[in-house]
Parts: sequence; C-alpha cells; structure tokens
Amino acid sequence: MNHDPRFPLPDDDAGEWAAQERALAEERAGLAPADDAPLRSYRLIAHVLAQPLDAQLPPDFARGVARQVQPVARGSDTGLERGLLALLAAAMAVAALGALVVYGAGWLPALDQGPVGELLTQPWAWTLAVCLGLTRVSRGWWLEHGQPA
Amino acid sequence: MDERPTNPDRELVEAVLRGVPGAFERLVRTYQGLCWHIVYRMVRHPEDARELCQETFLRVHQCLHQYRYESALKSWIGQVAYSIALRHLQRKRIPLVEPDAGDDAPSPLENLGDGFDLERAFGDAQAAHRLHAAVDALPPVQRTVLTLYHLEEASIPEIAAITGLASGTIKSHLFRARLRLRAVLEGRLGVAV
Repeated sequence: MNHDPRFPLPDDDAGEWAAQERALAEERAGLAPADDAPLRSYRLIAHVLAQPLDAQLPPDFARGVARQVQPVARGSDTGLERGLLALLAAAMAVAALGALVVYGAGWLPALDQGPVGELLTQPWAWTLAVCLGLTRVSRGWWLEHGQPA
Repeated sequence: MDERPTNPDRELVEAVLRGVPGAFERLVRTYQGLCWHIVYRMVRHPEDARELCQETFLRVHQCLHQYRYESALKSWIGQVAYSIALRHLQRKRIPLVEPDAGDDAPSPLENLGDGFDLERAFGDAQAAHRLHAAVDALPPVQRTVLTLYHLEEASIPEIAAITGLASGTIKSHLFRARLRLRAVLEGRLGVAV
C-alpha cells in the first residue's frame, strides 16, 4: 500500500499543506478563527474530525473481553497451584520409592522371572522411560511459556 | 538498588502476563478507544467493528508475551487492530485506497479559490453534516489515517508504526483527504448526504 509517495509536494500544494497544518494547530489551541477563507474551511474540517465517532463500544466491553480470557487464565494455573502440584508429585514419588524399598523384596524376584523383569534389567528401557518423561514435561513447559501465537 | 525507570506499559504488560486480577480489563479499557477508532473507521459497520475489536484484544492477550517493548504498547495494539481490520476488508474485497488517478489528473486544488464564504454558504451544522458524509465516502485507509491524526492526535511516526505505511504516504493521504473535504465543503465536489 506504500504506492502513494507524492511527498514532498510541489510548491502550490506545499502552501495548502501548511494551511491545513496551521488550521489544525489553531483549532487545537482554541484560537479565534482567521479571516482567511481556506483556513476557516480547514478549521471546520479539523473541528469535525476531532469529534467522537457516531457509534461507540458498549460500556461493559472491557469487562466482557476480560471475562472471555478468564477460563484460559484458570486453565494455565497460578504459581501457587503449580507449586502444590509439584509438591504432590514429589510426595507420591517418595512414597512409591519407600514402598519399593519396604515391600519390594517380596515381589521383585517374581518380576525378575518374567518378560517384564527382563525388560527392567535393560539400561536402554530406563533411558527410554526418562526420555519420554522429559519430552512430556518440556512439552508442557513449552505450551505454557513459549508457544508462538 | 533497581534504578530502572518505571514504565506504565511495562507494568501493565507484566501484570497481565502474571495474571493479576483486573489487569487485562485495565489494558482493554485503556486502549479500547484507539482500537475502536481504527477498526470502526476502517470497516464502518458497527456490529462487525465490535466483533473485530473483541478479536483484536483476544489476539493481544494471546500474543502479549511476544511484545518486546520496541514500540509503545499503544502502537503495538493499534497495529494488531489495523491488521485485523485490513484482513477483514481484504476478505470482503473492499478497496483500501482510491485508485491512482495518475499524474495527468487535475488536482482538486485547481478548483478551489480563496473567496469562499463558509458562513454564507452553510450554517455550521449543515457544513458538519456534509463533512461527516464526505469523511464516510473516503477510502478506508484515508479515513483511518485522518482519524488517527485528528481524533487520536497520533503523530506521523506513530501512524506509521500502526499502519506500516511510509511517512510520505501518510502525509499524502492526509493532504489529499483534507483537500477533498475542503472541496466538498465549498461545494466543488458532490457528496451524497
């Protein structure tokens, strides 16, 4: 749309531009109207253009728009909620580890004889599980902080 | 001690990003006038303009984390509003600017004289009525540039930041639009009122 670069103007037009700008400045300053006919016309134009538009947004527009984004804000959780969730996950992990230490001696040997036990002895299985876990966590973080709109 | 000067834009943006209650509503309230002036002047249809303003602020909320304080928040939000209104008009295939008349076309200035008696020709109310109709008849981009300059009191660089137009193009739109309004006012150009 930058196809209208007819500025600076020829001399005749430059005088007209100066009249337009002078009328705008005088209108804003509330000066008495000049005797000059073009200036008076441009004063009236500046006056009309500074009037509020004939239609307006409803008075509760801002509240309505803010209400629309609230579910998004709730969905993304507050810092406190995120902290409590992390604490709960850590407590569950510690409890699971504790249960494994206390009661694991009874049922881990049974696992060892089956295909699951064989899988658990493989280092690559643990590496895969850690990779999947990290991917899941980093995806959640990216969606929350770095997703381009 | 942090001696960074307080920036109202930064405070407001950070409050919205932190999810401070009421911060986004405050942002909308602060800039809804600017958004309305741009969008309503571009599309003219009040219902469409309301929906597009809503879309503008939802987009602002969605993309605010990308705002880098390189321009004033006012210009950034104005830019979002302008691009949304522009896309709406393009979808409806509404021409954005008047077709270029070429260098051989007579300038409206040639038809204007210095002896026009405004008071004798019309009362102020009738003249204002003619002018409003003439503004409505201008192409969308000229209407919007005029409104930003006169009603929002935005500077030419601010309008350039909002519209992406070059300063020379903005001045040319202002010049030609006001010249046209003067011609309409003085009866040299017709307008449906």
